[in-house]
Amino acid sequence: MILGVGIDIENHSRFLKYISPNCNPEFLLSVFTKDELDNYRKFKNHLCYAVSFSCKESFLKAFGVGWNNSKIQWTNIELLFNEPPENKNTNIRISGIAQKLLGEYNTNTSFLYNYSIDNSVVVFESILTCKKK
Amino acid sequence: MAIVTNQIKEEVRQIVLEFFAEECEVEMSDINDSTHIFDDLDGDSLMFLELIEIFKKKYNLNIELKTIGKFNVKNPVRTIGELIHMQLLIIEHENNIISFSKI
Repeated sequence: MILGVGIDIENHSRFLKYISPNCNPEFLLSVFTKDELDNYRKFKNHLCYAVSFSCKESFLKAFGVGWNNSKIQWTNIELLFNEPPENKNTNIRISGIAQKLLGEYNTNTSFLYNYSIDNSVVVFESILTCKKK
Repeated sequence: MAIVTNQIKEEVRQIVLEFFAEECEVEMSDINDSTHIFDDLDGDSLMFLELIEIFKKKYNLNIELKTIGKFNVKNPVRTIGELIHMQLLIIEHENNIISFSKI
Protein backbone atom coordinates (compact mmCIF):
# COMPACT_ATOMS: atom_id res chain seq x y z
CA MET A 1 0.00 0.00 0.00
CA ILE A 2 1.32 3.47 -0.87
CA LEU A 3 1.35 5.89 2.06
CA GLY A 4 2.85 8.89 0.31
CA VAL A 5 4.59 10.03 -2.84
CA GLY A 6 7.01 12.93 -3.10
CA ILE A 7 8.53 14.49 -6.19
CA ASP A 8 10.98 17.38 -6.19
CA ILE A 9 12.82 19.24 -8.94
CA GLU A 10 15.87 21.41 -8.33
CA ASN A 11 17.88 23.48 -10.76
CA HIS A 12 21.34 22.10 -9.97
CA SER A 13 23.33 25.18 -10.99
CA ARG A 14 21.97 26.84 -7.83
CA PHE A 15 24.11 24.47 -5.80
CA LEU A 16 27.42 25.39 -7.43
CA LYS A 17 28.09 27.92 -4.69
CA TYR A 18 28.12 25.11 -2.10
CA ILE A 19 31.39 23.72 -3.42
CA SER A 20 33.04 27.12 -3.17
CA PRO A 21 35.58 27.47 -0.33
CA ASN A 22 33.77 30.68 0.65
CA CYS A 23 30.52 28.88 1.38
CA ASN A 24 29.38 29.35 4.95
CA PRO A 25 29.84 25.98 6.73
CA GLU A 26 27.18 26.86 9.31
CA PHE A 27 24.58 27.18 6.60
CA LEU A 28 25.57 23.81 5.16
CA LEU A 29 25.39 22.19 8.60
CA SER A 30 21.86 23.45 9.10
CA VAL A 31 20.69 21.49 6.06
CA PHE A 32 23.19 18.63 5.71
CA THR A 33 24.74 16.42 8.41
CA LYS A 34 28.48 16.24 9.02
CA ASP A 35 28.51 12.74 7.50
CA GLU A 36 26.81 14.06 4.39
CA LEU A 37 29.23 16.97 4.04
CA ASP A 38 32.26 14.70 4.52
CA ASN A 39 30.82 12.40 1.87
CA TYR A 40 30.07 15.18 -0.64
CA ARG A 41 33.46 16.84 -0.22
CA LYS A 42 35.11 13.63 -1.38
CA PHE A 43 33.36 13.94 -4.75
CA LYS A 44 33.84 17.73 -5.13
CA ASN A 45 30.65 17.78 -7.17
CA HIS A 46 27.78 20.23 -6.69
CA LEU A 47 25.36 17.52 -7.87
CA CYS A 48 25.80 15.79 -4.50
CA TYR A 49 24.23 18.83 -2.80
CA ALA A 50 21.52 19.22 -5.43
CA VAL A 51 20.46 15.56 -5.33
CA SER A 52 20.60 15.48 -1.55
CA PHE A 53 18.53 18.64 -1.12
CA SER A 54 16.01 17.34 -3.64
CA CYS A 55 15.90 14.03 -1.75
CA LYS A 56 15.11 15.80 1.52
CA GLU A 57 12.37 17.87 -0.12
CA SER A 58 10.93 14.85 -1.84
CA PHE A 59 10.73 12.82 1.38
CA LEU A 60 9.11 15.71 3.23
CA LYS A 61 6.46 15.77 0.50
CA ALA A 62 6.00 12.01 0.77
CA PHE A 63 5.46 12.48 4.51
CA GLY A 64 2.88 15.11 3.60
CA VAL A 65 4.65 17.93 5.45
CA GLY A 66 6.92 20.88 4.76
CA TRP A 67 10.20 21.67 6.52
CA ASN A 68 8.68 24.79 8.03
CA ASN A 69 5.42 23.30 9.25
CA SER A 70 6.59 20.09 10.84
CA LYS A 71 9.14 19.04 13.41
CA ILE A 72 11.11 17.04 10.86
CA GLN A 73 14.54 18.55 10.37
CA TRP A 74 16.53 18.63 7.14
CA THR A 75 19.17 16.52 8.83
CA ASN A 76 16.64 13.74 9.65
CA ILE A 77 16.91 12.60 6.03
CA GLU A 78 20.47 11.83 4.91
CA LEU A 79 21.64 10.80 1.47
CA LEU A 80 25.11 9.33 1.12
CA PHE A 81 26.83 8.56 -2.18
CA ASN A 82 28.91 5.41 -2.62
CA GLU A 83 29.94 6.59 -6.08
CA PRO A 84 29.66 9.90 -7.99
CA PRO A 85 26.01 11.08 -8.04
CA GLU A 86 25.58 10.27 -11.73
CA ASN A 87 26.04 6.57 -10.91
CA LYS A 88 23.06 6.52 -8.53
CA ASN A 89 24.71 4.27 -5.99
CA THR A 90 23.40 5.74 -2.74
CA ASN A 91 22.13 5.03 0.76
CA ILE A 92 19.45 6.89 2.65
CA ARG A 93 19.28 7.17 6.43
CA ILE A 94 16.10 8.34 8.13
CA SER A 95 16.40 9.44 11.74
CA GLY A 96 14.81 11.56 14.47
CA ILE A 97 11.21 12.70 14.07
CA ALA A 98 11.11 11.42 10.47
CA GLN A 99 11.97 7.92 11.64
CA LYS A 100 9.39 8.16 14.41
CA LEU A 101 6.76 9.26 11.92
CA LEU A 102 7.65 6.39 9.63
CA GLY A 103 7.13 3.95 12.52
CA GLU A 104 3.81 5.54 13.45
CA TYR A 105 2.37 4.86 10.01
CA ASN A 106 2.98 1.16 10.28
CA THR A 107 5.78 -1.04 11.56
CA ASN A 108 6.17 -2.53 8.07
CA THR A 109 6.78 0.82 6.43
CA SER A 110 9.56 1.08 3.89
CA PHE A 111 10.52 3.47 1.12
CA LEU A 112 11.59 3.47 -2.50
CA TYR A 113 13.37 6.25 -4.32
CA ASN A 114 14.89 7.15 -7.63
CA TYR A 115 16.38 10.23 -9.21
CA SER A 116 17.52 11.54 -12.54
CA ILE A 117 19.94 14.29 -13.51
CA ASP A 118 19.85 16.15 -16.80
CA ASN A 119 21.65 19.25 -18.06
CA SER A 120 19.81 21.62 -15.79
CA VAL A 121 17.71 19.83 -13.19
CA VAL A 122 17.63 17.02 -10.68
CA VAL A 123 14.33 15.19 -10.29
CA PHE A 124 13.93 13.10 -7.16
CA GLU A 125 11.00 10.77 -6.52
CA SER A 126 10.28 8.95 -3.28
CA ILE A 127 7.49 6.60 -2.26
CA LEU A 128 6.57 5.51 1.26
CA THR A 129 4.94 2.09 1.32
CA CYS A 130 3.75 -0.47 3.84
CA LYS A 131 2.81 -4.11 3.62
CA LYS A 132 -0.91 -4.85 3.86
CA LYS A 133 -1.83 -6.79 6.98
CA MET B 1 19.04 40.06 20.32
CA ALA B 2 18.40 43.62 19.24
CA ILE B 3 15.85 46.31 19.69
CA VAL B 4 13.99 46.59 16.43
CA THR B 5 14.22 50.22 15.38
CA ASN B 6 12.53 51.82 12.40
CA GLN B 7 15.91 51.70 10.67
CA ILE B 8 16.15 47.92 11.18
CA LYS B 9 12.57 47.49 9.97
CA GLU B 10 13.41 49.38 6.80
CA GLU B 11 16.68 47.44 6.30
CA VAL B 12 14.91 44.10 6.67
CA ARG B 13 12.21 45.09 4.20
CA GLN B 14 14.84 46.26 1.72
CA ILE B 15 16.91 43.07 2.03
CA VAL B 16 13.84 40.85 1.59
CA LEU B 17 12.57 42.77 -1.44
CA GLU B 18 16.00 42.92 -3.10
CA PHE B 19 16.59 39.24 -2.43
CA PHE B 20 13.32 38.07 -4.00
CA ALA B 21 13.55 40.55 -6.87
CA GLU B 22 16.95 39.13 -7.80
CA GLU B 23 16.25 35.46 -7.14
CA CYS B 24 12.84 35.44 -8.81
CA GLU B 25 13.74 37.91 -11.56
CA VAL B 26 10.90 40.33 -10.85
CA GLU B 27 10.82 44.10 -10.37
CA MET B 28 11.10 45.18 -6.74
CA SER B 29 8.13 47.47 -7.32
CA ASP B 30 6.01 44.40 -8.09
CA ILE B 31 6.59 42.96 -4.61
CA ASN B 32 4.60 44.07 -1.57
CA ASP B 33 3.49 42.71 1.80
CA SER B 34 0.67 40.67 0.33
CA THR B 35 2.79 39.07 -2.41
CA HIS B 36 2.61 35.30 -2.01
CA ILE B 37 6.14 33.87 -1.89
CA PHE B 38 5.30 30.53 -3.47
CA ASP B 39 2.30 31.31 -5.70
CA ASP B 40 3.25 34.78 -6.97
CA LEU B 41 7.05 34.65 -6.93
CA ASP B 42 7.63 30.95 -7.45
CA GLY B 43 9.87 31.05 -4.40
CA ASP B 44 11.06 27.88 -2.71
CA SER B 45 12.51 26.53 0.50
CA LEU B 46 16.11 26.97 -0.65
CA MET B 47 15.51 30.71 -1.08
CA PHE B 48 13.91 30.78 2.35
CA LEU B 49 16.93 29.08 3.92
CA GLU B 50 19.40 31.33 2.15
CA LEU B 51 17.54 34.43 3.24
CA ILE B 52 17.55 33.27 6.85
CA GLU B 53 21.30 32.80 6.53
CA ILE B 54 21.74 36.35 5.19
CA PHE B 55 19.99 37.71 8.29
CA LYS B 56 21.90 35.40 10.64
CA LYS B 57 25.16 36.80 9.31
CA LYS B 58 24.07 40.43 9.12
CA TYR B 59 22.65 40.64 12.63
CA ASN B 60 24.82 37.90 14.18
CA LEU B 61 21.73 35.97 15.22
CA ASN B 62 21.52 32.87 17.36
CA ILE B 63 18.63 31.08 15.67
CA GLU B 64 18.28 27.45 14.68
CA LEU B 65 16.30 26.22 11.71
CA LYS B 66 14.44 23.76 13.91
CA THR B 67 13.22 26.70 16.03
CA ILE B 68 11.97 28.47 12.91
CA GLY B 69 10.35 25.22 11.82
CA LYS B 70 8.53 24.88 15.15
CA PHE B 71 7.49 28.54 15.00
CA ASN B 72 6.13 28.05 11.49
CA VAL B 73 3.96 25.12 12.55
CA LYS B 74 1.72 27.66 14.31
CA ASN B 75 2.69 30.69 12.24
CA PRO B 76 2.96 29.69 8.60
CA VAL B 77 4.85 32.15 6.41
CA ARG B 78 3.22 32.51 3.00
CA THR B 79 3.56 36.17 2.12
CA ILE B 80 6.36 38.74 2.05
CA GLY B 81 4.67 40.61 4.90
CA GLU B 82 4.58 37.47 7.06
CA LEU B 83 8.22 36.76 6.25
CA ILE B 84 9.30 40.29 7.24
CA HIS B 85 7.27 40.04 10.45
CA MET B 86 8.90 36.70 11.34
CA GLN B 87 12.36 38.04 10.54
CA LEU B 88 11.86 41.05 12.80
CA LEU B 89 10.74 38.74 15.60
CA ILE B 90 13.88 36.64 15.08
CA ILE B 91 16.10 39.73 15.26
CA GLU B 92 14.37 40.79 18.45
CA HIS B 93 14.05 37.42 20.18
CA GLU B 94 16.32 34.96 18.35
CA ASN B 95 15.66 31.38 19.58
CA ASN B 96 12.96 32.67 21.95
CA ILE B 97 10.60 33.42 19.05
CA ILE B 98 8.80 30.23 19.91
CA SER B 99 7.28 32.07 22.93
CA PHE B 100 5.63 34.42 20.46
CA SER B 101 4.03 31.60 18.54
CA LYS B 102 0.22 31.66 18.23
CA ILE B 103 -1.37 28.99 20.42
